[in-house]
Amino acid sequence: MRASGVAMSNRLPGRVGAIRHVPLGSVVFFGLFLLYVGLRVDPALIYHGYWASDRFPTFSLGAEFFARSFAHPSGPVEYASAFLCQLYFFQWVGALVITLVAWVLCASTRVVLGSIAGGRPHALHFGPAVLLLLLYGRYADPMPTALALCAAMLCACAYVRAPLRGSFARISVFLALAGVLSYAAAGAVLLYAVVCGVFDVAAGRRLLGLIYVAAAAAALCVAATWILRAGIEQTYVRLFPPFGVERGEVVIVLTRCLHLFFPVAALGMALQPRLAAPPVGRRWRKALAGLALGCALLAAVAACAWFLFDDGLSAVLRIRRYARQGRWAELLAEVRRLPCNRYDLTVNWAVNEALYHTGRLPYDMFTYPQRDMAGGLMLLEDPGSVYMAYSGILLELGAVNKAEHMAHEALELLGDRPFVLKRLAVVNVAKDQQRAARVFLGALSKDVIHGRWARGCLRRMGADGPMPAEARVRRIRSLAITEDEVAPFTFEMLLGCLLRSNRHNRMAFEYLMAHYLLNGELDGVVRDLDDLDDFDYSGIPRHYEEAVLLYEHVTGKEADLHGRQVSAATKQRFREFQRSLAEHGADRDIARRALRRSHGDTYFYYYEFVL
Amino acid sequence: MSRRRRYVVILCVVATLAAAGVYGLAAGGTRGIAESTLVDRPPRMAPDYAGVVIPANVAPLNFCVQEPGTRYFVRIHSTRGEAVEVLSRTRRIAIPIKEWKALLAGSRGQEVRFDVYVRGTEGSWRRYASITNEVSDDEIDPYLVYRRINPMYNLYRTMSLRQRDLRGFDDVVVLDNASFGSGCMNCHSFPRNSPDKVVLQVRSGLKNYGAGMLLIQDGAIRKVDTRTQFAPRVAGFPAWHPSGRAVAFSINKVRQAFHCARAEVRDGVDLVSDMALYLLDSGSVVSTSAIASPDYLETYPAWSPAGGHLYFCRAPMLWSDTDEMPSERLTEVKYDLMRIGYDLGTGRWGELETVLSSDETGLSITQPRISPDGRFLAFCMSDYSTFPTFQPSSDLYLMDLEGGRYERMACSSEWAESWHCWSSNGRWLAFSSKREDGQFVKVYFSHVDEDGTARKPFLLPQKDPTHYEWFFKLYQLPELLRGPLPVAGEEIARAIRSPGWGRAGLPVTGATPRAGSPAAGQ
Repeated sequence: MRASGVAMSNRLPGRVGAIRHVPLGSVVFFGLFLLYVGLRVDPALIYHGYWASDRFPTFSLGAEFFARSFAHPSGPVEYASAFLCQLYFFQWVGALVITLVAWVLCASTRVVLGSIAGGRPHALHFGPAVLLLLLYGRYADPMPTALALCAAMLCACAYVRAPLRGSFARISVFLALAGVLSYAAAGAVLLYAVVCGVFDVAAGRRLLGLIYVAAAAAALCVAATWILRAGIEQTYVRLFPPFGVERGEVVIVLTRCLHLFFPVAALGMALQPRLAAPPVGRRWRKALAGLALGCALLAAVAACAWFLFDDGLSAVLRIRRYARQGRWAELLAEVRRLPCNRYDLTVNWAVNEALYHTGRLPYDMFTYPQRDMAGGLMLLEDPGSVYMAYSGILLELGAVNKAEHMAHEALELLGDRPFVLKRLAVVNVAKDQQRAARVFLGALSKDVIHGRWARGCLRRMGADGPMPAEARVRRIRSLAITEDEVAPFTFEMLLGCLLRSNRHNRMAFEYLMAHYLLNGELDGVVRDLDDLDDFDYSGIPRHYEEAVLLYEHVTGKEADLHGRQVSAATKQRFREFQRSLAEHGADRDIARRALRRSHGDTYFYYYEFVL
Repeated sequence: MSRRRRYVVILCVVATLAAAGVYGLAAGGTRGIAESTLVDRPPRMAPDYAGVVIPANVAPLNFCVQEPGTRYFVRIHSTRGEAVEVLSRTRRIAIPIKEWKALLAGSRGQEVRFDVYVRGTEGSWRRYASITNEVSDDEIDPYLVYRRINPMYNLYRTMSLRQRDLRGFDDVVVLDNASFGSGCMNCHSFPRNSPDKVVLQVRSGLKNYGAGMLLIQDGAIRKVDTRTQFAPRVAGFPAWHPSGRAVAFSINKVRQAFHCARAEVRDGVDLVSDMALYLLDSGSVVSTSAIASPDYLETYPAWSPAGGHLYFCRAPMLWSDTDEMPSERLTEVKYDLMRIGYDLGTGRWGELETVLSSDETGLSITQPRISPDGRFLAFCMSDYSTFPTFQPSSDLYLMDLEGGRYERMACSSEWAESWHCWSSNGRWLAFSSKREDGQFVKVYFSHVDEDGTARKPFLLPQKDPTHYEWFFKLYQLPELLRGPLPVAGEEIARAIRSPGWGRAGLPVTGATPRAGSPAAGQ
């Protein structure tokens, strides 16, 4: 037993057979893996959806970020991970990166488990890849952990495959690799120690193996008791490079499975009877059995992937991407497919912005849920983590200083993330503060994805010259507030200020009217109707008509429409609404359900039941 | 030939080729430079290190040549010492520190010339008119302690107190706010540029570690809560008494305001502002109505070098509601420069005097700092406001305390200057300025002659010549120090995190910080 163990460390029995059989399965599995990650998950959604989140790492080219990253344990893995995550920007490049990482993890796991078992580990080595697949299906990005695991397993590979003779050589190599690994991947060194320990025990070097395992256990206990002051399992997980905030039970369970897979699998391999080399003869029957088993396993993985995929989150991330890219029609189409429980405030903002850009805000605003009157149109006192979205809307409105303010709050909260730097550069260009814009562009030029754009801008700006104003910047400048004031502005005051600076600011007008509608300020809508002449509306937009009818109904006064008329269709719908309301009498619940079907897209319904 | 000998031969050949390559590159790099054509103007450079006065002990002034070219050669020389030569394929000129120091050491009181050559795409060299700087005999204090933060509005999450060795490029974190729950460290002060005594104001952030004044003396850290029932807010701007036995501080209720169309968005006002002294011997807080009147806003304490006078700024309080932002009166807030006598031995307050009135200047006077010899008083003046850093109109002024004359310092710019600090020999003024871009505060140093003439300032040099082209964090509250801080940041953080802040005693002399109370005005 001991002798065979030594032999196994250098020559894996059945390895030739394994190589002959496994690639086809691997090719099929990772081919499907790539297609799933590329088409179903779409890493670009992670980039666009989570760019402003702690879940997504920042990365910057240049010596400063490099030095900062490499100044602490696990820094190298975090640095590499942060770089690879930037590649998610490109859907298929991102998918390829994830697939390659999963493949490296599987291949190294296969070698290690095979060495421990003394044979092929069958399909067990696909376990980490499956777990990664499921995690990506939940849009949890475990790249740092995956890279740390890769590092640990590659070091374990090197240890189990190294032609070592004698305990001194083994311990020396073990310690050298452990030293490198503890710096590169922090807690992954524990996993490496356990796997190497199990390998040595299985190979008959029990004392050596037990020392490794005991050292790892002792290190874990010390960390749990003295450093992190947490439970053993918690400590083990936390010693790995972080991969953002784990949210949701499924993600937490999958993460634990990923962390615990390797020690458990290694132990399982060590405890099971030695795997024999594939027997010769009747190979076609074996192949068929293997094929059937492979198909069954693939079907099981596919079922898990299908069942655990987070459709709602995928839709939300897609909406965020469309909003960022100004793909407004696609955004509205996506929102129609969005589950109700995913329709949050940021989606609401994006919908209203999309409606404005498609010219439908005064017509279709109430076709979509308006969450509440305080938050529907960024009226929050504290917009929290959505400073950037708020800043974007303010910039489009022409409230440049307020947009700058919000972008700086985002900078403080999110750090030097590319979209924040880009926003601040554009704001400063719009304010004709070229030198400040150049600094933000200089910082952005170190970004892997957006650096090229920034460098292009800097080149166009020349040494000291101004940046050529793009159409967007020219438009923002034309809308900007011209008269300085210092005030704790309410949103209504800000919109009023914008309209005083440029009475043709259609976005400010529509947002002001929307503000009145959301707050039930009917007199505000009626009062500002004469401003319709400043724009090219044909007639009165539907929601304003509905507000006019409500105003006349509630106050008993006739609204001054400045020569315009409420359409017959709107009047007819109002009559129907009133009739239905009267029919249901005091039972508002039934009335609401009934009217939601027929009048849910009207302001009548919002005013009566939501406000 | 044996295998071993073959390896040695290969190694020698490779080494020879490498040496030849390096030599060729070096020699070829400046080929044709002798035939360079002269350009009748100095080269554009960033940062602007042309025509400045520098101390002999400062780090190399690394810079970028802002002229198009394929190769750059800079020769720095003076009438004494060996010239420093830098050849670069890019516009970045990183000057070797050892040669630079040797050159400056031998050039005290002399001019140092920068000859810049640029090779164009056609292969010929251009030589620009020399840039001339002056090396002063006066050394600058070797350390600069400053706060590094993002351009901040309402929220703060990351900031650090850092210490830069001005003789080189070592820039270490003294205290990172991540070590105490993303709290705020808003002001720091040292007596007579000495690192032996430190006062540092801290506020809790995401985690509640409390707020108060940290006093660090001889390596020992003391946590002091200076709040009293009459002055319920924590201390603001501090100033050490030269004896090191007292700290004057302001107590401010600050509100921020935001402009909707001005280039500088931020503005601020003290809704309430008083001053008090913390006496270290007795551990008590004292004040008087002259520096803590309900009718005035008093702030920015500064001691005269002898410690007999406390200078500060005072503005009439134009509002009665101390909770609402007085937006409409913001531009009327203008501070006078005041001083009051104080005898630390007896605890007696002297007479209150107006040193310079805003009625006379038409501007708001803030942040007085007196030179170590007591002759000059440097201060800021802006159109209005308590916070000059938010006022593009803010400039540095210098008052000759012997004659009372004052004038705008030549080192001021069209953008905001503020937070200035004298060196221990009184010949250098470190200050913050936004002159580069109107937005990012950076540290400049200006030489001040014996007659009070300030020379063109130079920007804090950086190892990376392009540093300021991409670095957007602010260098705030620069303070020059004669030595490094003796306390480790982790010790300070541990002290902040430790429970409890020692309450200062109630007033034992003088009055309460809020006048109008029974004890006031004594």
